[in-house]
Amino acid sequence: MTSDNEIIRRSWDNPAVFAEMYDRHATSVYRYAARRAGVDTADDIMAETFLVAFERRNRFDSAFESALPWLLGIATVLIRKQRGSEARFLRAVVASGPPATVVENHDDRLDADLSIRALAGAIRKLPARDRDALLLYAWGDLDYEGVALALNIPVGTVRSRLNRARRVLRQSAGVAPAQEVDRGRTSTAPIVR
Amino acid sequence: MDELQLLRSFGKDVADPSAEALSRGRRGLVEHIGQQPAIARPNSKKRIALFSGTSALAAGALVATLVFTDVLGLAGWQGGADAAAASALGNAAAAAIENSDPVVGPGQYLKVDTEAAFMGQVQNADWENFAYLESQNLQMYVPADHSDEWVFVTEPRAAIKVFGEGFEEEAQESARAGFEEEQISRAPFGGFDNSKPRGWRLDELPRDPQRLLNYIYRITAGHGVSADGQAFDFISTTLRTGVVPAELRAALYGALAGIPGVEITDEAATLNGRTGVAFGREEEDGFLYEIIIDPDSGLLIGERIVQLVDSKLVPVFAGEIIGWTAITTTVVDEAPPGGSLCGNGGEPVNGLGSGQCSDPNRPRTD
Repeated sequence: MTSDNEIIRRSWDNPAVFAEMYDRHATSVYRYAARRAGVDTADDIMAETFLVAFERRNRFDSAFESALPWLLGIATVLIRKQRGSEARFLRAVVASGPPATVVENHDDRLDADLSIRALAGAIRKLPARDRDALLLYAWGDLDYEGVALALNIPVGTVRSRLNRARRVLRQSAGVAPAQEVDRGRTSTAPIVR
Repeated sequence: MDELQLLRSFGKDVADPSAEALSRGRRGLVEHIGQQPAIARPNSKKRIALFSGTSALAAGALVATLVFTDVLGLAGWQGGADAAAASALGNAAAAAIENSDPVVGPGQYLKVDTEAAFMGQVQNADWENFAYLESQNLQMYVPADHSDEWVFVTEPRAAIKVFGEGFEEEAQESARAGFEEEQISRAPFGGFDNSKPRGWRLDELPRDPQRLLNYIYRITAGHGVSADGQAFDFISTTLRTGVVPAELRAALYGALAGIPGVEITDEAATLNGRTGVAFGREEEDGFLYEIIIDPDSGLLIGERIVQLVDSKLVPVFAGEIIGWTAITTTVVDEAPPGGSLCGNGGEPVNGLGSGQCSDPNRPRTD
């Protein structure tokens, strides 16, 4: 399959091929946006992300094969622009628990509910930059390098932001620290400056 | 469950986007992409075989030579513009040559002022449709010495006409989004946004109208809605740069006279306060494309696009001008200060000329 960076390069000459980016990544962008800002806003974020991406396609760093981190970075900025919707969504979760669809119906549903309400409260209070790093990692399914690329920051900074954010969450959710499974690779990625 | 697992479980079951939202988003993107001007690229692989016969090899070599030098080609095979348009274009070409080009002295700039408006169409969150004409004004300052810094000014955008009642505010918002501020870029050789040096390569274009039109048909082959439409588009795209010297402008007018379907569509078309003759061609896509020329001076005034059918979703009807570009070229002593290689923000990445800048609107290091 042709890599994302190749398609973006082709789209300089032939803009129409950029629609392929949408077909590949729209669902991932939507899911990330829906988890952060709720399904009501996710449609718009999804659509707008690709319009912005198209306009900025000459700023995509073609050293990276996948465009997903870059797209989620754009979606993150759009979510922040609409921070009202993310804050409203988190407040609603704190107040009444997660929407019924978001937690599997298992035995510790109630515990999970309570913990998630606490988590949502903690997420809401995180500094925006820590929140972005954490949620790109947990909900955007990016590794450390991907988060670094999405936020245009060094990998080391991603690591420190994630550690800080997780410490805060642990305290507010009252969960025990578990053995860390680090999905981020330890190599230092080239950083876009 | 640790905090990360818990966090991941939260929203894990979030549904995929509805098919409706997916296709609405895709449609919006494709429409948006479609509004970008397409630039025809030379395609040296496409050649036209005209002969077959006894000395195939020799004939082939001869044809290749003739086609490459554009002595032979598509121009004129199916007639050209209608007689009145061809005659008026001939006069305009003569006038262009009589009026010499402005001379850009050392330290001066050729200023190409582009005032333009294009239609944007929007479906809002309530599924309501509206459209608007959006201003897109630019000024390019080309230095006498091309290795000096060129300066490119992009004005903030605005909705200057709204189609659909009650959407004025939304239209303004949509037009301005991402273009709220004036942007100034400066780069030697016109390599704005860290792109490669700007080369219009106008010197390579033949000055003989017939050969020029053959050249145009040859390199635009396979692009656009129709071969004639694409040739017309090549001519307007080239003229639109504002840097076309008089003798090439005359040749382009001559080439325009060789395109079937071109006729005078408005004897007195006014654009941005200047009046000229509109030479138009109706394309199968439902639009009339016009190039407007001052018949007395042979100067280009600009372009218009006229919609020929009623829109289904928005109150835009046949006859509406849905886009225009007015070009004014002058010689000036100064260019505005400010700006950088990557406009108002961002820095070159992946080396000079990579076409890439870092994005200033995305968060950086602490």
